[in-house]
Amino acid sequence: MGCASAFKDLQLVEGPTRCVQQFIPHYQRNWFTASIDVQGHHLSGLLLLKRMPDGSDRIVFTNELGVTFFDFEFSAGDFKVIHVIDKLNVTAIINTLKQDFELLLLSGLEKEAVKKYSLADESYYAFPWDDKINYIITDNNCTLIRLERGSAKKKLVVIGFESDNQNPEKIRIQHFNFNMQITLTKIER
Amino acid sequence: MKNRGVILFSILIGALAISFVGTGQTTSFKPVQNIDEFKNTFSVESKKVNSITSTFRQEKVLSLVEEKMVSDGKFWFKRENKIRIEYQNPFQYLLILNNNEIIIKDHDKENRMNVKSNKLFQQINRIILDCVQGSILDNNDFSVAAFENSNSYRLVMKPITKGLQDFFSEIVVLVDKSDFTASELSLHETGGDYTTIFFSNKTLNANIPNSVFDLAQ
Repeated sequence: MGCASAFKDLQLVEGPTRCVQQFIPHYQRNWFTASIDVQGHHLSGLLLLKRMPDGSDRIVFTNELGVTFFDFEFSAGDFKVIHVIDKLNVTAIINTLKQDFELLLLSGLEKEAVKKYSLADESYYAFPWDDKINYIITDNNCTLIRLERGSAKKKLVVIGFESDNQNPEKIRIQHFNFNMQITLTKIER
Repeated sequence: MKNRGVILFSILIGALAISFVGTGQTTSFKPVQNIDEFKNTFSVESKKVNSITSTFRQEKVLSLVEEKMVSDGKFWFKRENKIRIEYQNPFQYLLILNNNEIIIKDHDKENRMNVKSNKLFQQINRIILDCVQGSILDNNDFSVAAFENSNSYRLVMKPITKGLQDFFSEIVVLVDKSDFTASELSLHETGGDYTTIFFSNKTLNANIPNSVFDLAQ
Protein backbone atom coordinates (compact mmCIF):
# COMPACT_ATOMS: atom_id res chain seq x y z
CA MET A 1 0.00 0.00 0.00
CA GLY A 2 1.67 3.24 -1.06
CA CYS A 3 1.71 6.17 1.31
CA ALA A 4 0.42 8.69 -1.23
CA SER A 5 -2.87 6.87 -1.78
CA ALA A 6 -3.11 4.63 1.21
CA PHE A 7 -6.88 4.71 1.57
CA LYS A 8 -8.17 5.36 -1.95
CA ASP A 9 -9.11 1.76 -2.62
CA LEU A 10 -11.13 1.28 0.54
CA GLN A 11 -14.63 -0.01 -0.18
CA LEU A 12 -17.44 1.07 2.11
CA VAL A 13 -19.17 -1.93 3.67
CA GLU A 14 -22.59 -1.93 5.28
CA GLY A 15 -22.92 -3.78 8.56
CA PRO A 16 -22.31 -3.67 12.31
CA THR A 17 -19.18 -2.07 13.69
CA ARG A 18 -19.63 -2.81 17.37
CA CYS A 19 -16.97 -5.52 17.46
CA VAL A 20 -14.17 -2.96 17.56
CA GLN A 21 -15.33 -1.61 20.92
CA GLN A 22 -13.50 -4.58 22.46
CA PHE A 23 -10.20 -2.99 21.44
CA ILE A 24 -10.58 0.04 23.69
CA PRO A 25 -7.67 -0.65 26.04
CA HIS A 26 -8.06 -0.83 29.79
CA TYR A 27 -4.50 -0.44 30.95
CA GLN A 28 -4.45 -0.71 34.73
CA ARG A 29 -0.74 -0.29 35.40
CA ASN A 30 1.58 -1.17 32.53
CA TRP A 31 5.29 -0.32 32.52
CA PHE A 32 7.33 -0.43 29.34
CA THR A 33 10.87 0.30 28.33
CA ALA A 34 10.68 2.95 25.62
CA SER A 35 13.01 3.35 22.68
CA ILE A 36 12.48 6.48 20.59
CA ASP A 37 14.26 7.14 17.31
CA VAL A 38 13.68 10.55 15.76
CA GLN A 39 15.39 11.77 12.61
CA GLY A 40 18.49 9.70 13.33
CA HIS A 41 18.60 10.51 17.04
CA HIS A 42 17.95 8.01 19.79
CA LEU A 43 16.43 8.35 23.24
CA SER A 44 15.38 5.69 25.73
CA GLY A 45 13.40 5.61 28.95
CA LEU A 46 10.48 4.05 30.80
CA LEU A 47 6.81 4.59 30.00
CA LEU A 48 3.90 4.07 32.38
CA LEU A 49 0.31 3.63 31.22
CA LYS A 50 -2.02 3.85 34.20
CA ARG A 51 -5.78 3.99 34.67
CA MET A 52 -6.58 6.36 37.53
CA PRO A 53 -9.44 5.95 40.02
CA ASP A 54 -11.40 8.75 38.28
CA GLY A 55 -11.30 6.82 34.99
CA SER A 56 -8.68 8.97 33.31
CA ASP A 57 -5.55 7.50 31.71
CA ARG A 58 -2.10 8.80 32.56
CA ILE A 59 0.98 8.33 30.39
CA VAL A 60 4.25 9.15 32.13
CA PHE A 61 7.69 8.99 30.57
CA THR A 62 10.90 8.99 32.60
CA ASN A 63 14.47 8.20 31.80
CA GLU A 64 16.09 5.13 33.35
CA LEU A 65 17.89 7.21 35.94
CA GLY A 66 14.67 8.66 37.25
CA VAL A 67 13.93 12.06 35.72
CA THR A 68 10.30 12.52 34.64
CA PHE A 69 10.14 13.93 31.11
CA PHE A 70 6.38 14.25 30.74
CA ASP A 71 3.09 13.31 32.39
CA PHE A 72 -0.03 13.46 30.20
CA GLU A 73 -3.66 12.93 31.17
CA PHE A 74 -6.31 11.58 28.78
CA SER A 75 -9.90 11.74 29.98
CA ALA A 76 -13.12 11.32 27.98
CA GLY A 77 -11.57 12.84 24.88
CA ASP A 78 -9.84 15.62 26.78
CA PHE A 79 -6.09 16.03 27.02
CA LYS A 80 -4.08 17.78 29.67
CA VAL A 81 -0.36 18.25 30.17
CA ILE A 82 0.27 17.58 33.85
CA HIS A 83 4.02 18.05 33.58
CA VAL A 84 6.61 18.43 30.86
CA ILE A 85 10.25 19.46 31.10
CA ASP A 86 11.12 22.77 29.47
CA LYS A 87 13.14 21.20 26.68
CA LEU A 88 10.18 19.11 25.52
CA ASN A 89 7.60 21.84 26.03
CA VAL A 90 7.23 22.43 22.30
CA THR A 91 3.78 22.43 20.68
CA ALA A 92 4.82 20.20 17.77
CA ILE A 93 6.35 17.59 20.08
CA ILE A 94 3.41 17.57 22.49
CA ASN A 95 0.82 17.37 19.68
CA THR A 96 2.64 14.49 18.03
CA LEU A 97 2.79 12.51 21.27
CA LYS A 98 -0.82 13.41 22.11
CA GLN A 99 -2.08 12.10 18.77
CA ASP A 100 0.02 8.95 19.01
CA PHE A 101 -1.29 8.12 22.45
CA GLU A 102 -4.88 8.98 21.53
CA LEU A 103 -4.64 6.44 18.71
CA LEU A 104 -3.15 3.90 21.12
CA LEU A 105 -5.95 4.55 23.63
CA LEU A 106 -8.54 4.75 20.82
CA SER A 107 -9.83 8.02 22.24
CA GLY A 108 -13.20 8.94 20.76
CA LEU A 109 -14.11 5.45 19.61
CA GLU A 110 -16.97 5.18 22.10
CA LYS A 111 -18.74 8.31 20.92
CA GLU A 112 -17.76 8.82 17.29
CA ALA A 113 -19.62 7.23 14.37
CA VAL A 114 -17.65 4.31 12.98
CA LYS A 115 -17.64 3.39 9.30
CA LYS A 116 -16.50 0.04 7.99
CA TYR A 117 -14.47 -0.44 4.83
CA SER A 118 -12.77 -3.41 3.26
CA LEU A 119 -9.52 -3.76 1.38
CA ALA A 120 -8.26 -7.14 0.25
CA ASP A 121 -8.77 -9.44 3.24
CA GLU A 122 -8.69 -6.66 5.84
CA SER A 123 -11.48 -4.62 7.42
CA TYR A 124 -10.94 -0.94 8.16
CA TYR A 125 -13.06 0.57 10.92
CA ALA A 126 -12.74 4.33 10.60
CA PHE A 127 -13.72 7.13 12.95
CA PRO A 128 -12.84 10.83 12.84
CA TRP A 129 -10.53 12.21 15.49
CA ASP A 130 -8.74 15.54 15.84
CA ASP A 131 -9.04 16.60 12.17
CA LYS A 132 -7.83 13.23 10.91
CA ILE A 133 -9.18 9.70 10.69
CA ASN A 134 -8.17 6.85 12.98
CA TYR A 135 -8.47 3.31 11.65
CA ILE A 136 -8.76 -0.02 13.41
CA ILE A 137 -7.65 -2.70 10.99
CA THR A 138 -8.81 -6.27 11.59
CA ASP A 139 -9.14 -9.53 9.74
CA ASN A 140 -12.56 -10.72 8.69
CA ASN A 141 -13.12 -12.26 12.12
CA CYS A 142 -12.56 -8.90 13.83
CA THR A 143 -9.16 -9.87 15.21
CA LEU A 144 -7.00 -6.80 15.59
CA ILE A 145 -4.11 -6.45 13.12
CA ARG A 146 -2.99 -2.85 13.67
CA LEU A 147 -4.09 0.75 14.20
CA GLU A 148 -3.53 3.56 11.74
CA ARG A 149 -3.98 7.31 11.61
CA GLY A 150 -4.37 9.06 8.32
CA SER A 151 -5.45 12.11 6.42
CA ALA A 152 -7.90 11.69 3.56
CA LYS A 153 -5.24 9.99 1.47
CA LYS A 154 -2.01 9.68 3.41
CA LYS A 155 -1.08 7.18 6.06
CA LEU A 156 0.53 9.11 8.91
CA VAL A 157 1.02 6.66 11.78
CA VAL A 158 0.81 2.89 12.24
CA ILE A 159 0.68 1.15 15.61
CA GLY A 160 1.39 -2.56 15.77
CA PHE A 161 1.26 -4.94 18.72
CA GLU A 162 2.88 -8.17 19.79
CA SER A 163 0.29 -10.40 21.46
CA ASP A 164 -2.83 -8.23 21.82
CA ASN A 165 -3.48 -4.57 22.49
CA GLN A 166 -4.97 -5.08 25.97
CA ASN A 167 -1.81 -6.54 27.48
CA PRO A 168 0.82 -6.12 24.79
CA GLU A 169 4.34 -7.50 25.02
CA LYS A 170 5.49 -4.90 22.54
CA ILE A 171 4.02 -1.81 20.89
CA ARG A 172 5.52 -0.18 17.79
CA ILE A 173 4.49 3.31 16.75
CA GLN A 174 5.78 4.21 13.30
CA HIS A 175 5.41 7.63 11.72
CA PHE A 176 5.28 8.01 7.95
CA ASN A 177 5.26 11.78 7.46
CA PHE A 178 8.61 12.09 9.22
CA ASN A 179 11.23 9.67 10.50
CA MET A 180 10.11 8.68 13.98
CA GLN A 181 9.58 5.33 15.63
CA ILE A 182 8.64 4.51 19.22
CA THR A 183 9.06 0.96 20.49
CA LEU A 184 7.56 0.01 23.85
CA THR A 185 8.52 -3.31 25.44
CA LYS A 186 6.65 -4.62 28.47
CA ILE A 187 8.62 -4.72 31.72
CA GLU A 188 8.06 -7.92 33.67
CA ARG A 189 8.10 -7.20 37.40
CA MET B 1 16.37 15.04 21.08
CA LYS B 2 19.54 13.01 21.42
CA ASN B 3 21.31 15.93 22.99
CA ARG B 4 18.43 16.49 25.40
CA GLY B 5 18.70 12.91 26.55
CA VAL B 6 22.43 13.15 26.85
CA ILE B 7 22.15 16.30 28.96
CA LEU B 8 19.70 14.63 31.32
CA PHE B 9 21.86 11.56 31.60
CA SER B 10 24.88 13.71 32.23
CA ILE B 11 23.15 15.55 35.04
CA LEU B 12 22.38 12.26 36.66
CA ILE B 13 25.93 11.03 36.26
CA GLY B 14 26.99 14.01 38.27
CA ALA B 15 24.25 13.43 40.80
CA LEU B 16 25.29 9.83 41.19
CA ALA B 17 28.90 10.81 41.59
CA ILE B 18 27.86 13.19 44.32
CA SER B 19 26.27 10.26 46.09
CA PHE B 20 29.61 8.68 46.75
CA VAL B 21 30.79 11.28 49.12
CA GLY B 22 28.66 10.17 52.07
CA THR B 23 26.08 8.05 53.96
CA GLY B 24 23.95 8.16 57.14
CA GLN B 25 20.65 8.44 58.99
CA THR B 26 17.94 10.99 58.25
CA THR B 27 16.78 11.83 61.76
CA SER B 28 17.79 14.56 64.21
CA PHE B 29 20.12 16.44 61.94
CA LYS B 30 21.60 19.72 63.08
CA PRO B 31 23.55 22.22 61.02
CA VAL B 32 27.26 21.52 60.82
CA GLN B 33 28.77 24.10 63.17
CA ASN B 34 32.27 24.38 61.77
CA ILE B 35 31.88 24.30 58.01
CA ASP B 36 35.58 24.94 57.31
CA GLU B 37 36.62 22.00 59.42
CA PHE B 38 34.03 19.86 57.67
CA LYS B 39 35.35 20.92 54.27
CA ASN B 40 38.88 20.02 55.23
CA THR B 41 37.92 16.66 56.70
CA PHE B 42 35.76 15.91 53.71
CA SER B 43 38.59 16.67 51.34
CA VAL B 44 41.15 14.61 53.25
CA GLU B 45 38.90 11.60 53.73
CA SER B 46 37.63 11.59 50.14
CA LYS B 47 41.17 11.33 48.87
CA LYS B 48 41.49 7.99 50.65
CA VAL B 49 38.83 6.48 48.39
CA ASN B 50 40.34 5.37 45.11
CA SER B 51 37.61 2.99 44.05
CA ILE B 52 34.10 1.86 45.01
CA THR B 53 32.09 -1.12 43.98
CA SER B 54 28.55 -1.51 45.25
CA THR B 55 25.06 -2.66 44.51
CA PHE B 56 22.19 -0.19 44.42
CA ARG B 57 18.43 -0.08 44.61
CA GLN B 58 16.63 2.81 42.96
CA GLU B 59 13.11 3.89 43.85
CA LYS B 60 11.48 6.31 41.48
CA VAL B 61 8.30 7.79 42.97
CA LEU B 62 5.73 9.28 40.59
CA SER B 63 3.89 11.21 43.25
CA LEU B 64 0.98 12.48 41.15
CA VAL B 65 -0.02 9.04 39.91
CA GLU B 66 0.93 7.28 43.15
CA GLU B 67 3.26 4.89 41.41
CA LYS B 68 6.72 3.58 42.18
CA MET B 69 9.30 1.92 39.94
CA VAL B 70 11.98 -0.04 41.77
CA SER B 71 15.11 -1.11 39.93
CA ASP B 72 18.50 -2.41 40.98
CA GLY B 73 21.97 -2.93 39.64
CA LYS B 74 25.69 -2.50 40.21
CA PHE B 75 27.94 0.52 40.48
CA TRP B 76 31.68 0.99 40.00
CA PHE B 77 33.80 4.07 40.57
CA LYS B 78 37.52 4.45 39.98
CA ARG B 79 39.54 7.59 40.57
CA GLU B 80 39.82 10.03 38.90
CA ASN B 81 36.68 9.87 36.85
CA LYS B 82 35.59 6.44 35.75
CA ILE B 83 32.04 5.38 36.57
CA ARG B 84 29.96 2.40 35.46
CA ILE B 85 26.26 2.21 36.35
CA GLU B 86 24.60 -1.00 35.30
CA TYR B 87 20.85 -1.45 35.79
CA GLN B 88 20.03 -5.15 35.82
CA ASN B 89 16.43 -5.49 36.99
CA PRO B 90 13.70 -5.14 35.86
CA PHE B 91 15.33 -3.61 32.79
CA GLN B 92 18.85 -3.51 31.40
CA TYR B 93 20.62 -0.21 30.96
CA LEU B 94 24.29 0.65 31.04
CA LEU B 95 25.95 4.02 31.51
CA ILE B 96 29.72 4.49 31.55
CA LEU B 97 31.71 7.63 32.17
CA ASN B 98 35.32 7.13 31.24
CA ASN B 99 37.35 10.33 31.56
CA ASN B 100 35.83 12.60 28.91
CA GLU B 101 33.64 10.02 27.24
CA ILE B 102 30.06 9.05 28.09
CA ILE B 103 28.81 5.70 26.80
CA ILE B 104 25.16 4.69 27.03
CA LYS B 105 23.77 1.32 26.02
CA ASP B 106 20.06 0.53 26.05
CA HIS B 107 18.64 -2.52 24.33
CA ASP B 108 21.05 -2.94 21.43
CA LYS B 109 21.69 0.76 20.88
CA GLU B 110 24.93 2.41 21.85
CA ASN B 111 25.62 6.14 22.14
CA ARG B 112 28.97 7.80 22.74
CA MET B 113 29.37 11.46 23.64
CA ASN B 114 32.25 13.69 24.60
CA VAL B 115 31.87 15.43 27.95
CA LYS B 116 33.54 18.51 26.50
CA SER B 117 30.95 18.89 23.77
CA ASN B 118 28.88 21.36 25.75
CA LYS B 119 28.92 23.56 28.80
CA LEU B 120 26.52 21.44 30.81
CA PHE B 121 28.72 18.39 30.36
CA GLN B 122 31.61 20.39 31.71
CA GLN B 123 29.53 21.41 34.72
CA ILE B 124 28.74 17.79 35.39
CA ASN B 125 32.36 16.79 35.01
CA ARG B 126 33.25 19.46 37.54
CA ILE B 127 30.69 18.06 39.97
CA ILE B 128 32.14 14.58 39.62
CA LEU B 129 35.67 15.74 40.24
CA ASP B 130 34.53 17.85 43.18
CA CYS B 131 32.92 14.82 44.68
CA VAL B 132 35.87 12.50 44.43
CA GLN B 133 38.17 15.28 45.61
CA GLY B 134 35.86 16.25 48.47
CA SER B 135 35.46 19.83 47.27
CA ILE B 136 31.76 19.76 46.34
CA LEU B 137 31.01 22.38 49.00
CA ASP B 138 32.90 24.87 46.86
CA ASN B 139 30.98 24.08 43.67
CA ASN B 140 29.30 27.22 42.37
CA ASP B 141 26.52 25.29 40.61
CA PHE B 142 24.85 24.58 43.96
CA SER B 143 24.16 26.20 47.25
CA VAL B 144 24.99 23.48 49.75
CA ALA B 145 23.77 23.23 53.32
CA ALA B 146 25.46 20.63 55.53
CA PHE B 147 23.82 18.92 58.51
CA GLU B 148 24.95 16.14 60.79
CA ASN B 149 23.94 13.71 63.45
CA SER B 150 26.06 11.18 65.29
CA ASN B 151 26.38 8.86 62.29
CA SER B 152 26.04 10.93 59.16
CA TYR B 153 26.33 14.12 57.26
CA ARG B 154 23.38 15.31 55.22
CA LEU B 155 24.15 17.55 52.28
CA VAL B 156 21.21 19.48 50.85
CA MET B 157 22.20 20.84 47.46
CA LYS B 158 20.04 23.39 45.65
CA PRO B 159 20.96 24.09 42.03
CA ILE B 160 21.61 27.74 41.29
CA THR B 161 22.39 27.41 37.58
CA LYS B 162 19.61 27.32 34.97
CA GLY B 163 20.45 23.98 33.36
CA LEU B 164 20.30 22.11 36.64
CA GLN B 165 17.33 24.10 37.95
CA ASP B 166 15.25 22.90 34.99
CA PHE B 167 15.27 19.41 36.44
CA PHE B 168 15.98 19.44 40.15
CA SER B 169 14.67 21.46 43.07
CA GLU B 170 17.24 19.86 45.35
CA ILE B 171 19.58 16.91 45.67
CA VAL B 172 20.11 15.36 49.08
CA VAL B 173 23.07 13.14 49.87
CA LEU B 174 23.67 11.20 53.06
CA VAL B 175 27.33 10.75 53.98
CA ASP B 176 28.53 8.12 56.43
CA LYS B 177 30.91 9.57 58.97
CA SER B 178 32.77 6.30 59.29
CA ASP B 179 34.17 6.19 55.78
CA PHE B 180 32.87 9.26 53.94
CA THR B 181 31.02 7.27 51.34
CA ALA B 182 27.35 7.56 50.41
CA SER B 183 24.55 5.20 51.24
CA GLU B 184 21.63 7.27 49.98
CA LEU B 185 20.93 9.88 47.35
CA SER B 186 17.62 11.65 46.68
CA LEU B 187 16.91 13.62 43.53
CA HIS B 188 13.90 15.92 43.95
CA GLU B 189 12.43 17.15 40.70
CA THR B 190 10.69 20.43 40.04
CA GLY B 191 7.47 18.57 39.14
CA GLY B 192 7.23 16.85 42.52
CA ASP B 193 8.53 13.39 41.60
CA TYR B 194 11.65 12.11 43.27
CA THR B 195 14.16 9.31 42.99
CA THR B 196 16.06 7.75 45.87
CA ILE B 197 19.06 5.51 45.33
CA PHE B 198 20.23 3.26 48.14
CA PHE B 199 23.77 1.91 47.94
CA SER B 200 24.80 -1.28 49.70
CA ASN B 201 27.47 -3.98 49.71
CA LYS B 202 30.16 -1.38 49.23
CA THR B 203 33.77 -2.34 48.77
CA LEU B 204 36.33 0.45 48.94
CA ASN B 205 39.71 0.58 47.25
CA ALA B 206 39.57 -2.79 45.55
CA ASN B 207 41.53 -3.08 42.32
CA ILE B 208 39.08 -2.50 39.47
CA PRO B 209 40.47 -3.22 36.01
CA ASN B 210 40.10 -0.42 33.50
CA SER B 211 38.28 -2.84 31.22
CA VAL B 212 35.22 -2.50 33.50
CA PHE B 213 34.82 0.95 32.01
CA ASP B 214 34.84 -0.30 28.45
CA LEU B 215 31.64 -1.28 26.74
CA ALA B 216 33.04 -4.66 25.78
CA GLN B 217 33.14 -5.74 29.45
